[in-house]
Amino acid sequence: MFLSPLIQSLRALRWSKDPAVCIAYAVFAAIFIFLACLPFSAAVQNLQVRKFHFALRPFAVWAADQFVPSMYNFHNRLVISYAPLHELDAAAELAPVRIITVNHYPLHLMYTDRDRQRLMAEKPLYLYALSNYRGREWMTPYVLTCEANVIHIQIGTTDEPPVR
Amino acid sequence: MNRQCVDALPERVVVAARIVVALWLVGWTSKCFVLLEYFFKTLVSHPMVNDFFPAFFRSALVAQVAYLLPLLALCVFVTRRRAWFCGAAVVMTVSSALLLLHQDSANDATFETSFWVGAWLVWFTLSMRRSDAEFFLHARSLALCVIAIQFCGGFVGKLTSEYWSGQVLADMFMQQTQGLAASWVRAHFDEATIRIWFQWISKFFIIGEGALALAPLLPYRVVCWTGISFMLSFALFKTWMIYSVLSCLIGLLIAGWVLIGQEVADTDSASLRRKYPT
Repeated sequence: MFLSPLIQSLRALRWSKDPAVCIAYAVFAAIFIFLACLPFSAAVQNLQVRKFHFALRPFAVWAADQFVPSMYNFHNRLVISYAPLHELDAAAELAPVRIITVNHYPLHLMYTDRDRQRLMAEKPLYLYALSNYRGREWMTPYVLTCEANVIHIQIGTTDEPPVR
Repeated sequence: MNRQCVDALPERVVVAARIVVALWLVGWTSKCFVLLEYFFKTLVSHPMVNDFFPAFFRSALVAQVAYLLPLLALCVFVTRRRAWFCGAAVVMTVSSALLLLHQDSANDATFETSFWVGAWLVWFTLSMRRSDAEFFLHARSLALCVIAIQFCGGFVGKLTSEYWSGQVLADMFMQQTQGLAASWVRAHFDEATIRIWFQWISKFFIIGEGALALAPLLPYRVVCWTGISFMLSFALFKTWMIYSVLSCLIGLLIAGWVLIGQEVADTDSASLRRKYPT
């Protein structure tokens, strides 16, 4: 009879002999349960979105969540504008606004030499990270300002959808 | 450490550890032409200040040191001393953790997969004098657990209509500026056709990730063959740079395969000894 590798290992597991292995299995189980809750739990979704948007505070919580695997999660877009969106006239001013689809971290474009240089501007840049998942949408605003050659990022408050 | 201790390490265990380190380093350095410029030029000429991060994780020096430090792990290819293997594993894991939490590299999944493979290697090298069957069982299962959480993380995050319909992957594919396959496909096919393909490609990825999320429950060789083929296929739809993320996972699967070989060899030699006692 086929026994999966995990079942074989769990049968052979002894706390007295392999405490580190017991802890490792417990950690993997906890991560697995946490991830399995994502499609159903608004709280877990909020947590993950805030992680991607760098808006999960305190930093220690974000740091712990960073170790939870989450490649290519959610539908994430980044809106780049020279003016706050609420000040734009949708009909006339939408053209300067650029919208790109990004993988899991909406601020992805800060992480290459070429893109970072392109963000250097005299005027503040307004960025909006938009994430969609199973009918819910989140938005976090950012303001980028440049002083000399230093880019400063201010992160606003994540606009969360109401829990259905 | 005396000569006896050096020789006490089982050969297959050393080979498995070296495979993991080798493919981990391949992934880590595969984007070096991009990352060296980024860490050593961009972070100095155009630094970013994001108050979300503590000062330590904003320091360019921390990122630079953390990126170069794992090169010390090359020592495992010229020594059989366990302490060097352990040291290399710790350095690899700590460097991954630092870059995973650093403001200038937190977006890169390379450092997340590298961390988990590094953590597995720390446990493995600390126990590498063992050659009992339980050790190999746990090494294999923990490797599969690492694979499972990676793909479970990808799978659950894609359980949304935007991914299932192929829209997200198609959007990213159309925006992609790198990747030979992407350039060739865009040059030869119109966008509407490509988007139709992505309706199926996206489903293929989601189902494949879902299957690999169950890796610890499946036969090891099945996970190995399908998992490695699945990961190698990623570059067709993204850039080859995705291997910086995946090559350490491929190394982990191959190392587990080598350890199964050890288990089989031990069983064979035991049965031979029973059959032909000396």
